Amino acid sequence: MGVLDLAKGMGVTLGKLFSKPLTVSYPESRVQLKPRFRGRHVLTRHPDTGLEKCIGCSLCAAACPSYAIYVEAAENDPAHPVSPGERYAKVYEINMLRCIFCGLCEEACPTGAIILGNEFEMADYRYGDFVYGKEDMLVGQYGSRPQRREAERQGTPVRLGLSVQPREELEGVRYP
Amino acid sequence: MRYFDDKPELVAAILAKYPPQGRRSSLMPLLREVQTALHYVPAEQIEEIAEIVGVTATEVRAVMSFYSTYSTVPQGKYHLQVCATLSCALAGSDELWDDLCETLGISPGEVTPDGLFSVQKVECLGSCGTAPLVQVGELGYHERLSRQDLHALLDALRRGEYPGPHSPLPVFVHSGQQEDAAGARHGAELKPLGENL
Amino acid sequence: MKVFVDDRAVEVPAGTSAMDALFEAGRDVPYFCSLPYLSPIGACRMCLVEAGSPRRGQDGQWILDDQGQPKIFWLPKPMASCTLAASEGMVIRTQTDAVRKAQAGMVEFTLLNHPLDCPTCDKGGACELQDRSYEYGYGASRFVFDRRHADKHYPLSDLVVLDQERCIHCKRCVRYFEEIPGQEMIDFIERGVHTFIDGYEGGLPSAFSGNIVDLCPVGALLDNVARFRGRNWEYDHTATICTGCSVGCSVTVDARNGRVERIVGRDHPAVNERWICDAGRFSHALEEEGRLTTPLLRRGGELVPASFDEVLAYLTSELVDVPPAQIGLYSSSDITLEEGIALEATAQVLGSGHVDHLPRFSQLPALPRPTLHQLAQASAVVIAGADLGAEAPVAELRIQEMLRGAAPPPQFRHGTAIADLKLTERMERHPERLAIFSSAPTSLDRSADLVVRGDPQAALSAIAAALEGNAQAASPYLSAAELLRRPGATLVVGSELQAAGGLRLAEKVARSSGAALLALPADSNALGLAYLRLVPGEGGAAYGEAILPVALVSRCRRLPAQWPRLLIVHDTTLSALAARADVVLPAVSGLEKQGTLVNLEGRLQALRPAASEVGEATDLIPALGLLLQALGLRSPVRGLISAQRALAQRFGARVQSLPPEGALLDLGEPFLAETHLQHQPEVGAWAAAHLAAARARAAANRALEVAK
Repeated sequence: MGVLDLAKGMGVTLGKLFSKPLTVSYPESRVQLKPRFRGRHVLTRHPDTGLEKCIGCSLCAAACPSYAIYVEAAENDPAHPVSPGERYAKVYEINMLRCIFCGLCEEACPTGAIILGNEFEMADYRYGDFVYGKEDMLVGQYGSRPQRREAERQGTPVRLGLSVQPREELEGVRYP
Repeated sequence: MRYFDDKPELVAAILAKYPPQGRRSSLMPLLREVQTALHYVPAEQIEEIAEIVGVTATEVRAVMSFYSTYSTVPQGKYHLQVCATLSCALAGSDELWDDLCETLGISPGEVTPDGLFSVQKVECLGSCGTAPLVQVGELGYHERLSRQDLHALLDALRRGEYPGPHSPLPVFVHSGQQEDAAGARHGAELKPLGENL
Repeated sequence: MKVFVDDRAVEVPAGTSAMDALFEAGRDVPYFCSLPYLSPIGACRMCLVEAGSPRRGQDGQWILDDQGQPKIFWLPKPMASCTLAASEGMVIRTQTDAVRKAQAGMVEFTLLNHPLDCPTCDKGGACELQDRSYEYGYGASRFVFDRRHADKHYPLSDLVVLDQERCIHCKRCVRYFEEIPGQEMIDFIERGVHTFIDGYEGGLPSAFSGNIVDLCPVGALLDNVARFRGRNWEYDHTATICTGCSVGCSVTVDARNGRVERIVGRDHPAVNERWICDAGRFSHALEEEGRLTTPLLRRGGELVPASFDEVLAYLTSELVDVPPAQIGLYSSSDITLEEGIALEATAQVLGSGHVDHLPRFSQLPALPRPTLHQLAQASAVVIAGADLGAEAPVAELRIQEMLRGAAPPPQFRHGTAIADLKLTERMERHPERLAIFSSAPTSLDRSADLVVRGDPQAALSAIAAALEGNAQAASPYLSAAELLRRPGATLVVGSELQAAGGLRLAEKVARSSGAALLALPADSNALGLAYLRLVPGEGGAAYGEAILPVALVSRCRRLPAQWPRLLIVHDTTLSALAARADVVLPAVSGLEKQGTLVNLEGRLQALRPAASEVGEATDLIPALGLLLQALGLRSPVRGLISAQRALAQRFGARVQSLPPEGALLDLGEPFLAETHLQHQPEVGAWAAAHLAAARARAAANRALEVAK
């Protein structure tokens, strides 16, 4: 290795000194997510009827390589359906500790009900708090459990440390 | 009183045509008899026939519903049967059918308020060369029908003037069509124009 | 008869269908309408193969081709192998392009109007149509028009729901009702693609209707009790036997998350074929209601949950002054042989003669027992004092088989014949082969020519007299005697006769007529327990006969005439008896324990525990161990292994390694004692309770949302 090579390397270093830094000072400033980022799951609804897209078929649970999903189905009351058709998910739980965010559930879903969204800040204190139910994942729910708990305690709106372009498949998901 | 209560000879003649183990075969002539006389087979007669033959009412319905010649609902004086199988469909029977239903304001299973018409979509009537085709009751075929022809036919029937069929039915339907083993005829008489309604 | 399947040669008996011949050769064809024990009708046209046979010339010799080999005359079109009889030298091709194309085309046709709502369908994952489409279909459809739309939620009864869109018109359910229970309930209505299944007699009879759920090849007929409770791949399947009655039907129990969600029938050619009764199928709905999961101890007049340690401490202090020989041990007759021998050993350790099991009868027939297979092939059956529908429902189906007169389907390497050409639709039934004598109407009355209401014991006496030649001409007893004299006839006696002590009379009738005698046991293992010393010993009291200081009662629902001073109850729920106990120990149900049962034929069959969550509930062996521990005693049988060892010593058979079909063993001499605690046909009441629970649960499946 000669002096020339050293100079080349130092040149790269020096060049970076004068370029705009890539580092984001998270969590003070928001991180810009890539469009194919896979974060916390969102259970979507049909935008026109407001019915849940999930029909409780358990195919996501069957596809899940880490056995993180548990579904219990029940029959819709025809007068007040939860989802179109006969069947809906009475219980829908994902253990976020087990989840490896691979997106196989999203691929297995026949109705496009489960989409891996953008949120990723789910650090919490108790194992039980990582089991997210329908109420934590349905579209319209904003922020993870600890974030919502914190926001409620402080009386401030939920603050997410991310910014992202709207994604077509995440119908109805809006970030302020 | 039920339909066959006063017709023991007729029932005996029909049953006598089949061997004891083939008693179920008498279902068809019994149904034909009621259909001819009443122009439909009411639920009560389904039960009655089931009892005579010794099968379940479910089976009588299964047999009945297989054949489009039997009806569980009352029919009009003129039962218009529109062929909807391939040749007729290609020749525009779907449009003809829609036009007919719209003109009369009824759908299958209904009768016009004046009691004149009922409609039914049927499978091939065997006159593919002259499609599209409408059969009027037991009177005959009306062939190569355009909408205008159909409306003219309906108007004539409303006036009570039947112009006559283009072709008679290929199979002759007997009056008193229950033939016993000796060849004697029994049963309800089939009157033209559905007059025994 | 030699048949060539894709150049593999197989030897099959004459009368075999081409389908069974090719399965025997290890080949496979798709099929939806054929089913073991049902007639083959060729409705689905899926099992198409190319077939041809050699022919004989007028000289009786094979017609030869140019090479001097028998010339194969090919059938001009692909044939449905289920209705095609195999013949000597037949050649069947299952792997040609023409066959593949025909089968794939049929899959495409079958799927034309199938809604493909597999994600919401309870059959998904265990669906014959799914599997066969995957294996044999093109994987795509050229059909671009609207599919047929029909009623997707059409309840045929409280327990079975029909989805008319999913039906592929295989006719299995229609044929099942006509051929197996012999009740025509449903039929095809309309024709072509508009065909749907319906019945106008109002619902389905609740005796054997659940079987149509098992046999439906698609998700058209579904179990309303297990509706949407889990997907097929999520269930833990346990192959076990039903403990509802003494038939001992083979079943598969499906549990999810520690909860039994459904029970389906399993093929056992010698016992239940593949049918089970509705009570057995839906029994899980009741088994889970009000289950005890911890011991209960009476404190201050109230039963409160306690730990086993607390129970042990309580019993230790209470039993200090009680002589062990004064402790009573009573159990129901549905316990396993293992529990039974533990009970026997415990009684011996205690030195107590106060031991009994109930319900049971005072006597057992000394004649060899006929098997269910022999019952199904009997030349005639006379039933005295038995309502089979309430005491042994599936035995009723075997009698229907007898009335149909067809030999049971042959067995092949692939199992029971799939398309047995001997079976046809609407086979002639022979009601003249069946006679029934009972005081109350029975479910088989509709199938018998000779039905006599009255005391069955008096009837048997009259039959006995008729057999000796002392009968008036043309009396029903003479007809019954003539039926019994037929070679291969069977006399079936049930609880009404046995409770009245008429078994010796039945034996006499059977002996003098040469008929076989089938005495229905009082409960699911009453026959097996009779070969253990579980009857009151010297000076011992039967259940409730004497006021004992202490008694342990397992799973008996009957209240005793005399109450012990300290009552220990081992039961699944807080029954009326348990509510008055001082100590309640939680028990497992028949679905949840391991052991061996003996059915009415004397067949030892293995019981395996379903994957259900039972808390601290145990079978009888630990409950007995707890009692002995409180007394400071020790029994030689303290667990399943030692119980199996003790059974091996007693019966000379390793019950832990029974073959899958069970084993008919000689269990030696029974221990008998008179009992006044006779068996009522409790299975009937059992069935009614279970079906009511199943209906409630099916209704709750829908009411959940309404309540919300």
